[in-house]
Amino acid sequence: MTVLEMRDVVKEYRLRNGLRTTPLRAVDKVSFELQPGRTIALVGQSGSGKSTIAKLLMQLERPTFGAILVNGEPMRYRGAGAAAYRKAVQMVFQDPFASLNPYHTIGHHLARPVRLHHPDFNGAQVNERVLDLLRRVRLEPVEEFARRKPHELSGGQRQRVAIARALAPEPAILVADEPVSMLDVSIRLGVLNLLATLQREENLGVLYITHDLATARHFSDEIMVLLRGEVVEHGPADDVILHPQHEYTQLLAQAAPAPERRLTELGVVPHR
Amino acid sequence: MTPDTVLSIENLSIDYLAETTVHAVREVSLTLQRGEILGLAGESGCGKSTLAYGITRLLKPPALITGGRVVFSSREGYDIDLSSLAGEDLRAFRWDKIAMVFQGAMNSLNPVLRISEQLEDVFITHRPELGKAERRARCGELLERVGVDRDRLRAYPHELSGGMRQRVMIAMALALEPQVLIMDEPTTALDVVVQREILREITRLRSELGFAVIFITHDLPLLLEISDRIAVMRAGLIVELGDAVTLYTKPEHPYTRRLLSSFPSLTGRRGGFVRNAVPGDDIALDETEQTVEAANAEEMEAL
Repeated sequence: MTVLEMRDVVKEYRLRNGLRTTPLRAVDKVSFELQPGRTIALVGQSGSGKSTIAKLLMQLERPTFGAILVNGEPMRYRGAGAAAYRKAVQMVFQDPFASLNPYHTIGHHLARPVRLHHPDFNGAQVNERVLDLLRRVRLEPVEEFARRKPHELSGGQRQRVAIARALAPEPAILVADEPVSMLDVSIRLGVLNLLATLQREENLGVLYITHDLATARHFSDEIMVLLRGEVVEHGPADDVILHPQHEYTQLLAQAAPAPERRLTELGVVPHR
Repeated sequence: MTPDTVLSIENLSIDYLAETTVHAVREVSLTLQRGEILGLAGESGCGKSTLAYGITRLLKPPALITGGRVVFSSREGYDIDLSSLAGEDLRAFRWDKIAMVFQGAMNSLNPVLRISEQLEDVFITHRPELGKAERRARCGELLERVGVDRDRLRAYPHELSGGMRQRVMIAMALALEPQVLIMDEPTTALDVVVQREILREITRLRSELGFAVIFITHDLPLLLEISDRIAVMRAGLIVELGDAVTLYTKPEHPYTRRLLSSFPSLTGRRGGFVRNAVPGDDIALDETEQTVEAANAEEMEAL
């Protein structure tokens, strides 16, 4: 059980221009709380600060102001506290073609985190764990998949390996940065549905970073809309999409492709 | 062929002569009307880009056109069989009559040349009679036409945003006022707001200049919104072709139905989403290879 909270977090980068520096506020006073079993979607244009928030949560950046709290305690950056944090929070990256090492087998990719987080396991136990992970992301027959190299897998299968790798340390929270945007449309739903099933099984808290409003709405409980680092709207998924309050959310919702809108314009009643 | 047809593809087949021959495009027949937006949808590997490259004869070995022909009917009233062109004629024909906006267009600009040089290149090759000053003026007009400020001509590609680079690519394709524009995934790498702007730009330019568009993408909802007709492609074949509304409301082919259902609707129902389903009810949760193969078999039978 881990509750992750961001409280008024600000991240500033310094832009250097000759001798002068100007601050760029990439994340501006963002607050939210990620509960186990819940999904928060983070939507916004490119450059709105979505990935900076992911970096802050992965401890790749430190906040300029504000605090990130884990179960009410400030986040630790060193020592045992940091190790426990890294075990509890895992990430699924955007590009499954770049995030797996082409030289190593799938089994190796999954065995590494298992060994790191369970130094007491012997070889057979590690192997059993790896096969179990593959079974959970439904890459069967598991022994065969463990032996394969990344290039022998399709994009969707690779992304499932990435999900299995993130699940290896038994995390409580998953940060998914555009997990399906590089995948073919016909398998996107499959991967998202798998993620949702695993979330339910493990009671994971998920931060789903995306620019696709439609999947954000159906996949998450809450949606946060980010504009130039600031959260301009935050609420239950259906409310934010169907009754957007802020003009930027309205702009986003209107920009998304919606065939129904054209049908209404043409005066055809959709019946699907 | 009706007088309104600008491009007609007849039984075009393209193979890749790899270790095992891959039939990437199989006997595809299509006609493109003047001023029409024809959407070409399908997942990666279905042959939609190969078809586009086949139309413009841009394929390199091991790809080989094994059958069929592509006929272009010019506005001026003559027909050209594209396979009869070669060498200088083909080069002169390409950008002049049929232009293309390439996939990943944002990265297809040369990073070490200014925008002006890259735009002027088109005129130097195809309109050698133009003077330098006139070339400059034309390039400026082109940029303004796609909504980019004229003084951006002096910029290098990295100084422009993704959306602006995409506009420059469209300007370049429009330079010689082609009658057919092929757009291969022109908005895939852009975020929704910029994508919407580019789409508006394309529809506006089409009504101003009257060119026909073949719009290739895997984003079916987007196609449903902007195209007049849509062709759905699968494994090198066109499995369904119809006007956008009919395709959306009464899809005939099981593959079209599956493609449509893989997009959750923004305001409507959840499509294939089952996030809050009862546990135990999750057999169809994940498309395993077996279910995909079963679906494939069913669809191939219907072909």
